[in-house]
Parts: sequence; structure tokens; C-alpha cells
Amino acid sequence: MSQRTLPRLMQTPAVLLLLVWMLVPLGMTIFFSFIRYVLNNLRKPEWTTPNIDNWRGFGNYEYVLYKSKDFWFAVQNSVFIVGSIIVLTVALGLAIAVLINRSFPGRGMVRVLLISPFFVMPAVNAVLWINMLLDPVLGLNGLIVNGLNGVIDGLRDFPLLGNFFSFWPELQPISFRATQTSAYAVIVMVTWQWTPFAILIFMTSLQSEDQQQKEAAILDGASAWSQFVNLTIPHLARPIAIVIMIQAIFHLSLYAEIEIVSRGNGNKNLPYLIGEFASNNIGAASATGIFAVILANIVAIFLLRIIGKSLMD
Amino acid sequence: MKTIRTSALAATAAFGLAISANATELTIAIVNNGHMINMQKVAEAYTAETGVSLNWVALEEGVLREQVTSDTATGGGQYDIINIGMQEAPIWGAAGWIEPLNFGSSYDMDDILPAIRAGLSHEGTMYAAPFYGESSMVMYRKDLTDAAGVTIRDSDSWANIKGAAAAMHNPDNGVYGACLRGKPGWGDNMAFITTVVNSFGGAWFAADMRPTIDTAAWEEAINFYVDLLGNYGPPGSEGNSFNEILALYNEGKCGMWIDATIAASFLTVDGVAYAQSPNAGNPVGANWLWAWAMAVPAGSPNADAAKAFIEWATSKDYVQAVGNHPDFGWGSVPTGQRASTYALPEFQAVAGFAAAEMAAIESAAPAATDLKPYVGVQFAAIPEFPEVGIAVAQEMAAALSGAKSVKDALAASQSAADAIMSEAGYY
Repeated sequence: MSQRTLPRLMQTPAVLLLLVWMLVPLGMTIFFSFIRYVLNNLRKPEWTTPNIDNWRGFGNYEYVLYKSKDFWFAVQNSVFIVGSIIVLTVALGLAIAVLINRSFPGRGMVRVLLISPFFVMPAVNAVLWINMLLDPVLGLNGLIVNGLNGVIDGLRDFPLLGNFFSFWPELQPISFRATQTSAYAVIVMVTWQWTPFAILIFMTSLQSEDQQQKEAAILDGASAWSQFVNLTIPHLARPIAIVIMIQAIFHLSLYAEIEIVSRGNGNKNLPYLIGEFASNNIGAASATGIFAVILANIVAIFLLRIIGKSLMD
Repeated sequence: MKTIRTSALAATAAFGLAISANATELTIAIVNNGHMINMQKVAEAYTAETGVSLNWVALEEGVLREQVTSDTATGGGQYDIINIGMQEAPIWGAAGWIEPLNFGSSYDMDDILPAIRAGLSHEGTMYAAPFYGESSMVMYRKDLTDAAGVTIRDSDSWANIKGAAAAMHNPDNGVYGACLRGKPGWGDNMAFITTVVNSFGGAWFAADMRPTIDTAAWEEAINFYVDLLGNYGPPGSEGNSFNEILALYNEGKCGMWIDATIAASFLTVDGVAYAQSPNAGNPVGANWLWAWAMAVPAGSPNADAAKAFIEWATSKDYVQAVGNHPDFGWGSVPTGQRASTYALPEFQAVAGFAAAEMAAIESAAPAATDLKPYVGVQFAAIPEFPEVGIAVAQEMAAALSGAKSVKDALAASQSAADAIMSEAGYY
């Protein structure tokens, strides 16, 4: 037995298990995506059992791409939501991590508080935001707008100044469940939840930043900004890459927030579209699933090309 | 020590034997709303009496639907009894997924409200027994209409309703004229919108099952709905369904609310009055009809025990059991299923909405007609309806928030519905 055989043999069960775990569902999805398969149909009962006789080639794909309502909208939304969340969390995470990197009284406490949103469950996060903060009548959003309107109303009674405020329009609270805004609501709540993750990663790597280099830079008269751009950012390249990769993987499959905010109205992504098809049309749901796999791969390749380098260096 | 253990064992064994002689365990999937949750407690008496142990799985409406549909469609056999609604019962009965229900004469089948029974039957056979039923009605604040000098009548015209909403609308004081459903979902905004469309003479499908969402009746109805709710409704209506509006109403923020009759038993503000749903003069009416019912999946090994339990849980005795239960009482009895419930003096004494509710249910017409060639009032009892309903629901929410014009939203709805129906092999 060569030196390699034994370890390979010992790995085999785990690898096989993983393969079965992955390949069986993927294989079934591919199979379902090429046949007619619905849960219930009174006209064509034969479609309700998955069977090779119901083969329809690329029919499901055609239906999803050209006939169903929201496919391209969902693809667009998937990319838009993931992209916005990544940009916001990295920017906020960097800023906050650098801010709390210096020592000040109560730092430990502040750090714990900053990280705590990450431990809130996604569904709870969504319910909290949409009902208590963003609701235009009973939530903070509505209360603030109401309060402002009240203040402006009061100011109108002032002499002179009142003339100015009488031109002030009555403010209307924004509804975050509307078609136009629901995607932003999802972005806001997921950003709130995931910024702590970025902070956590950046904070730990900032602690390994070379202080001597920084002192040298200060002696050379470098400004705080140029220190940040030329020393801190390159130092954080790898953690930033990790934060982007992990978040891209997680947020491509967002579901709970979308369901709770507006049930896919205006913020539908691919996983949500799959869920909608799966209420009856398993064939179309499977075809959409394959598209989601393709999209995830495109994003992965794209990300690896751009930021993979900083991981490999 | 040893003797204690042995005798304990012996006792357990004896006890086990005694039970296993007729031990049946029923697994019941229920929707997690008040009446069904109460049943878990009331049914303790049933277990004590018959020895049948009950295993409850309470799920949120959407989750329940998914679970029960896939379990029943694939013959999974997880549940002995399932909670289904009026949309599913006739279709699943036709597909042979659930067993027909025939009960003895003491059950008094004719006591079940005819509209409810028709909605849960396929070709005259009942496939699911109603636990409670509901229709829709106007629930308005009498104090506010009086102050505004308007009246709301039974089966009022939509123009009058809009006038009353406008008169009560006073957002500066936090009162909105009309609170109506806007949250997308086939059982949410579409339940209400479909009743409006029905009353304007529109329908979901024509006789050949081609969708008819691009008709003038739909356009008129949706324009009216968007106008009413957009101008005299609370901000953020596109996120409001039953629970959200109930919260607003109980905060005193709504002048009127047109929704499920079951809401009446949860209203805590003073001065609520009831009226039959408005109508634009169409015989299909503007009342919806819904029931949560219990059914037995075909091929359940405990089918007989399951049917016996359903017979008890949907009987007159059950209503008595809830009314006399120390934890509940007559205000909490399930309604909308039996005429006899409304005849009970104890119930009448605590339920001011009883008469309006029964009238609303009785006037609802789920059967297929020339105007509406499918079964169901605020839905169509076909397996594809949830998919069609969700697609249209989102377009209607977009029209409500002004993201799309009513015309565009209806055109998009029509083409989406058309794609789904032709994909399903109807034409």
C-alpha cells in the first residue's frame, strides 16, 4: 500500500457521503426540470407523478424564461440586493472597525453592543424592522413623520417665520412595503444584521496591523487618510475578500426577509420565485433552481477572479 | 428498591396493555388561529372519554398549506387529519386525495349552513367538515359616521361607501376613512379585491377557463379600489392584511373595515356597527365565503378513528363543550358552521355580530354560474389558482402604491394568468 492509499481510503466515506448529499438533490432537480411535474392538475392527472414519460425537453426553461412574469426581475433583484448589501456592510464595517480600534472607556461594552445584531434571527430581524421601525402608521417611521408635521404646524403660528413654514408641504411617511421601496427595506435590515459580521472580522485583523509602519508613516508626515488608504486598506484586503465571499453566498438565498416585508412584491429574488413556482409547478420550480445554480456560479467565478487574488497572495 | 421497580414495571405493563387494546394515536395538522388552538384544550375531554390520544401540529397558514399539500399530493401519510380550506376541499376531493365524509343522523348534516357545505363538497359529497366559517361584512364606527353625518346601509352602493369613507377620513387626527387589505397574497388582498370585482360583474375566468382580467369590469373595480384605499386609507396599505388592519382598527385608526366576519369577535373598540358588504348590483354578491375544515387524507391507516374525531369536533356537542368549558365560554365558540349555533340563546347574548355574520354567510354564492363559471367566491377552486392569485396580487399591490398604472397592472396580470393556465394544459 503506497503512502497515499490509506489516507484516501479513510477519506472515502466522508467524500462519498458529501457527494450523495449534493448529487442526489441536484440530479433530481435536473430531472424534474426536464419533465412535466405538477402537484395537482385536474385536466392532466398523469403530470402529477414524476415520470420519464412526461419528458418535455427544455419546455420548463422556456416557460420560465419567456412566459412567466418575473424571471428577469428576480435575477436583477438578486444581484441588486446582494451587491448593495455587500457595498454597505463593507463600507460601514470598515468605518466602524477603524473607529473602535483605538482605546476609549467602555470599549468592550461598545464592541459587544455593535456585534449583537448578528445574533438576532433573520425572521425576528425582519419583523422588528418592518413592524416597529418602518411601519408608516404605528412604527417609528410614522411617529417621527407625525411629530415633524406637528412641529411644522406649530411653527406656522409664529409671526414672520410662519409665512415661510406655510409653504412647507405636509410630510408623508414612506411605506416600505410598497413595490418601489420593499427592496430597500430588505437591504436596510440585512445590512443592519450583517455589518457586525464585517466589524468583527475587520476588528480582529486591525489588531495585527504593523504599528511600526504606522509610526514611520506619521514621522514622514502622512495624513490620517493616506495612512488609511495606503496602510490599513491593503492590510485588510484579505478580510474584505472573505467578508464579500461569505456574504455573497449567504445573501443570494435570502428568503425570510422578503417573505415578511412584502411577499415578493417589488423585492422578489430567485429563491423566492422558486418558492412561488413550488406551490404547484415543480417542473418550473426546478428549472428556476437550475438558473439559480448558474447565477450563483457566475457570481462565484466573478468574485474569485476579482478578489481571489488577494486570497492567493 | 427492587420490588418497587418490579411492581412499577408490572403496573406500566398492565397500563400499557389496557391502552393498547384500543390505543390509537391521531396526528392532526391545524392552522394556528384562535379557534383551532382552543380545540387542543377542549379535546382533552375527548381523549379522556375515548382513549384516543391526539398529537397536534399547529402551523402558520402558509406553512400549513405547503406542508399539507406536498404531504397529501405525494401520499406522505404524516397526518391522520388535516386542516384545509374551501379552496382545497373540492379539488382534493375530486383528485381523490381525501376521503368522503358520511356521518350518522345524530350529526345532523342539514344543520350545516348550505353555502358552507356546498363549498366543501364535490359533486354533492362532502369531503371536509367545517370547523368554522366566515364571510365578509362592513365593520364601521357608528360614533364616527354619526359625527360625520353619514350612514352606511346593508348592501350599500360603492359610491356611498366612498362618500362615508371620505367624510370620516381625518388623517391629522389619526383616523383613516377605510382600512382594506392590500398585502399581496391570494388569500389576502385578492380575497377582498375579488369580492369588489364580483360585485362589478367581473370574474377570474371565462367558461373555457381563459382568464378575463383585462375586462372593463376588472378595470372599473380596480380603479375604484385604488381610488378608495389610496385616498382614504392609511399609508402603507400595500402591507396590510387581516392582522395588520385588526391592530390599526383596535388603535381607533379606522373609520370602516370590510373584512372577514370572524374579525368581529376580536374588535375591542367601542361603537362598532355592522352592515352587509356593499354591492354594485351583481347577483354573485360582494360577500366572500371561507371555512376552515377538517379532512382525512386518503389511505390513512387510522381513517375510522380520524373520521370519528372529526364527527365530534364539528358537532353541536363540540360547540356546547367550548361554551361550557371553564377556560373559554360562549364568546369563543366557533361560528359560521351550523345554523344551530346561532339559535343558542347563550351565544346570542354575547355575540352582537351574530345576525350580520349569519346573513352574510347565507347570501354568499360559491356555486358556478354563467357569470362566474367556477366554484368559489373570492377564489376559483382549481389547483392553479394560488399561482394565478399570487401573480395578480403582486400587480394589484403595485397598482395600489402607484408603481404601475391600473391598466398596466391588469395587462400584466392577464398575461401572467394566461401563461399559467396554458402551461397547466387548459387550452
